[in-house]
Amino acid sequence: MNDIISRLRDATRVVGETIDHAPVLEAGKSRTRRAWLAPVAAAASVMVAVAGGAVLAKSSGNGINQVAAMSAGPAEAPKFLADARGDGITIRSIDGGAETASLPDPSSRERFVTIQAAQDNRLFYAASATEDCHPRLYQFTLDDDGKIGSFGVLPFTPPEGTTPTSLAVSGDGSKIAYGIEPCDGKKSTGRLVVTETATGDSRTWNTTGDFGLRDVSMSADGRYVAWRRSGLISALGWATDDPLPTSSDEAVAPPDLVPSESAGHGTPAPLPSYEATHTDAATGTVTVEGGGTSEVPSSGTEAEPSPAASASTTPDPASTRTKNSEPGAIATVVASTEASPEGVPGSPLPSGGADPSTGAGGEPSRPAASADCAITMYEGKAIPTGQVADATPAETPSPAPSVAPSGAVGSVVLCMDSSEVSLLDTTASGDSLDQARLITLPTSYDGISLFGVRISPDGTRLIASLGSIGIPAVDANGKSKPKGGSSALIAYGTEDGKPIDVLYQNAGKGAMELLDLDGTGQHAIVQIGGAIGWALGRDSGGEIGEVDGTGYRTLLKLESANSPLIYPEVAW
Amino acid sequence: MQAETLDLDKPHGGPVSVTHTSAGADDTITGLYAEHALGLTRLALIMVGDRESAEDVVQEAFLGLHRRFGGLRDPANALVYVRSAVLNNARTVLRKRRLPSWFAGAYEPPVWSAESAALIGAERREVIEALHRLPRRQREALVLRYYADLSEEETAQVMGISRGTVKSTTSRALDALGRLLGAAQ
Repeated sequence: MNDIISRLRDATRVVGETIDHAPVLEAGKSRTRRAWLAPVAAAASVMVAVAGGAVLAKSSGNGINQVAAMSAGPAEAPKFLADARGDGITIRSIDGGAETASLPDPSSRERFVTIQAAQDNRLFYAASATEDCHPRLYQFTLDDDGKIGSFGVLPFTPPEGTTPTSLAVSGDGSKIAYGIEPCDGKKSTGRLVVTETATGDSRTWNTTGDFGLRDVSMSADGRYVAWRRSGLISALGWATDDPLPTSSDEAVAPPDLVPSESAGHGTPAPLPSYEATHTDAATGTVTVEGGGTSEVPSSGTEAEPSPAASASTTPDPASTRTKNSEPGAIATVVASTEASPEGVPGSPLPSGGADPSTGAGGEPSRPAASADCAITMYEGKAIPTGQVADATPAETPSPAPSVAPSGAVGSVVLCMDSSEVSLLDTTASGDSLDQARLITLPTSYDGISLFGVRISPDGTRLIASLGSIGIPAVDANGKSKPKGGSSALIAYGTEDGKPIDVLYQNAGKGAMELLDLDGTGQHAIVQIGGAIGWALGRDSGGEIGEVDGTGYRTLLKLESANSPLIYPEVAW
Repeated sequence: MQAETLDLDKPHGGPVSVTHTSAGADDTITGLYAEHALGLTRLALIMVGDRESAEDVVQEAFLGLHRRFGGLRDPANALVYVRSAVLNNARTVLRKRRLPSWFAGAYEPPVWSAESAALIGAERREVIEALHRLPRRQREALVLRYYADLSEEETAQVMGISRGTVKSTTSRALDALGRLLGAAQ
């Protein structure tokens, strides 16, 4: 044994001594991280003067003014963060996190559901969902102190009978793109709408598959739109505690982490049943062929992706994919106020797909690495997965969204259901979402899943957050201790879907959800912990932070551990 | 045994928060770097095999310390933190290398590889290669105990495991290393 030790000492010493000095500490400079992204071509930031005669009325009182289209200034590093998770929208200064302004929800029957900023971090758009399925689009601006400069509703709306899911804005704000789903939540036939904000001219892409769109993002020139397919969002929301069978094998979380009323803000309520055929809702949309591209100088002239080349040759996996991405494949973690404070050993915590069998509706054939998971927050009783998955208006009565009935259920989808990213060239003709190129990001490593993806402003990269939630570990005394997962922000080329660079990596902090990328493509908003930590029985509320070339910094501590984020509700 | 479930991925320097680092902290970090950078770089080299990665690993660890210094409950824990971070970062480097090469990027063959074995000799190369066939925790325990000459207590702190676990892990690791080297002979 001593011989082994001395050989070990000798060998390691000699290997170590091949280095005779350490380099100088380069304070504040990371050797391993290169510059994030190719800078957006300056041309993209040409400012277009506000059209003559367009009046942008100041917001006054409770009245909502109609606004005309505005153009955003050049791309700037973000100074403000718009947070639409609570009631209304809160603007915070990134430096210090102080609240600078707020916009209440338009009414108790109309809530902001998704928000996005143009590249200048001053011009913002928001979409609302309403109880009667008449969603609207809003625009507001911020001044340099983060106060609301103007606020108003746009003169055009998303199609009636829909709920906007995810909003994206081109660099100069001249175009917006958003996903919509039928408001009744009966079937998730998502559509994509791209609208010229100056004219309201819209173009809609449809699909025959029953998937929704989330993580919608747009290149600065408005040409490329990226998104991921998701299961039904609108069926997830508040539900009453009507007879819900309890199930015994669900994980439990500490009672002090049971969501407060705010738990449901991320989830649109299943609004009153909408009987009209939603397939007709797209009629009346105006098709604009390649509209607007001449107004916006194209950026990223080199290495432009060419979706057109491969669009038609990509096999369409919609039929199989959407089966998988239905919420039926969701694994559910249920919190109960009567639960013991410690997680049950071996309980089916979401584990990045390590155990797909925990999902009551889990499909045996689906690859483990891309397994869905959801966290169902609940007070009082357990709710079986199937109940959430098949939620229809009949099963989930729809109280007013802002009034959470006691014993209400709020559901969140956290684990991503697809590692496929769709990339659409909006200058190509056609009106099918299936013509988008599918880029499958590798998630086969260490059981990691995809937690959000955005296209870079120059359109050449997809910035994705990949990671694992964490694995519940049980020690010899039978105590369950969560082991933090790890995650990384990785840049992939849109051309070939191959990883280019690891932009940031965290270990042990758990999964990191990518919430937004700024107009320069250099700063990302991520959420760490939160509902994920809650699922693991941690008492940390999680936090929202910024990732840039220098690493991570906290922007906002989350008050409750359960702020679900279905939409990119935080933007800059 | 509770410590078994703890993981090094989270450095054990106390609660971590982002605060402004004072000038005093800068001095402390600079001093720590001057004193320990070489040793830590060598330790990282033994873990990851190539000098450039080893230097990166240490650099990152100190940058992490700089970011978190104010959040350390006890600045005296800074060395423990930075050692933990070195191990952790080294692990990340190794993990990345399990990915396809276009993901992990190019890296130099380890200093004990056949290409550069002349530098350290065939016998030592055997030892290091055997060391790298051990499970991660066993390897780390051995290197901390017998290369870095840390006590069981210090090793336990850095690895975030209990002293008893260090003891048993080290003992198992030595057995395993002996078997590997015996088999090689």
